[in-house]
Amino acid sequence: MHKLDQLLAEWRRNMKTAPRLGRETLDELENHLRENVDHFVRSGMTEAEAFRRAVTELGTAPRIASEFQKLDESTWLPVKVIIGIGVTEALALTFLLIARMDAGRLTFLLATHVFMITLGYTTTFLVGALGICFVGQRCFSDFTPLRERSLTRVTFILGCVAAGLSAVGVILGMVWAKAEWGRYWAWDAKEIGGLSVVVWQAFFLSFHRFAGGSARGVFGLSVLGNIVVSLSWFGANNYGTGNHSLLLATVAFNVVFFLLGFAPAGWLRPRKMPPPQTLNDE
Amino acid sequence: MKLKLEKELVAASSVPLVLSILCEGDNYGYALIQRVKELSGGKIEWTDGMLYPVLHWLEDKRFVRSRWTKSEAGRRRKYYSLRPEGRQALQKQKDQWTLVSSTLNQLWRPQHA
Repeated sequence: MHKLDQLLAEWRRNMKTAPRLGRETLDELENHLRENVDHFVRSGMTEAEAFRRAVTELGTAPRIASEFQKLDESTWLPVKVIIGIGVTEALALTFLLIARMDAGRLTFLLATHVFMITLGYTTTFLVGALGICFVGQRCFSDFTPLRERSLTRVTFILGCVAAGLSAVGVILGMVWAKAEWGRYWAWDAKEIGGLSVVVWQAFFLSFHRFAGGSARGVFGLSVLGNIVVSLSWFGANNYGTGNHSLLLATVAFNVVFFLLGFAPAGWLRPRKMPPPQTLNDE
Repeated sequence: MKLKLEKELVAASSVPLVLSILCEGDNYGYALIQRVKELSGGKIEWTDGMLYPVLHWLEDKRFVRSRWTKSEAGRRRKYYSLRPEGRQALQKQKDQWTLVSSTLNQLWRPQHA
């Protein structure tokens, strides 16, 4: 391997440890380094000296990352709304469950299970709602790479929260079932639903982490997450009742948005009339 | 004595400088820095890595757009070009900087009795 390539590979490994420096940004910074190294080599430096000088002029990883961090401060409105809904829901649920525990209608174990499962499922819904907002806005205008990176990071954090809450909720449900019914697991509709959501969330996070995690793919999957949770939650509750019209409407709604995700960015943007080429047709 | 700009002034002037250079034509990060050095006679010195957050911010604001292309030497470069919104932003910046400059010039003009 060429000496400069080795130095650049090492520099890149070091830069990767800093948050907010994505692959494309690193490509751009590496390109800058190469240009500057060429410049210094032409002025008489050795390649190693030129590389050191170029790295110094570029700045350290934490410093560059902190500048990029400042850019993330403006948060997309749907993210603010969804975080607000999540916090409000958690507070309301806490008060409701405490009131029911005080009234002797719920044990602490069951209340904690309900809290975890409800928040885990609704957080998955909130990530799905972000996906719908993303697909909807993308129909009119494309997102910048910076905004996409920031949004996919938000979905990863919310996805981790949802997965953690759902998994703990399912385990608490098993402990409660053992205490109340003498068995941990019986493959009933709610248990299968809970397991499905946890498996889905694990798949979503794996896709995020290991499959490149493109914003379009992540948000498309998050819309499909709405279907998984709808079937697991409302489907399990209505199992055997024959009343599935609302569930089917929810599935259809989300499928439409999932498919819209394949459309090119800005396809619904109003087209401007081109200006006349000349005022005189003659 | 070498004139060194305050860092606040360097930061404030970075957006109009980048927009103005892009108004000359599409360009990439390294060349933008070289152009600023050339125009200022080497007196405006940016820490190279600080330019890229500015470029990404301008892209986020939809003032510029970017595209990767290959140079003649086969090197990939990310070129930035000005959008119409960027031209409007540049015009606003020009008006503001011209106002500040003309005000200071009047204050600092040699007084004739």
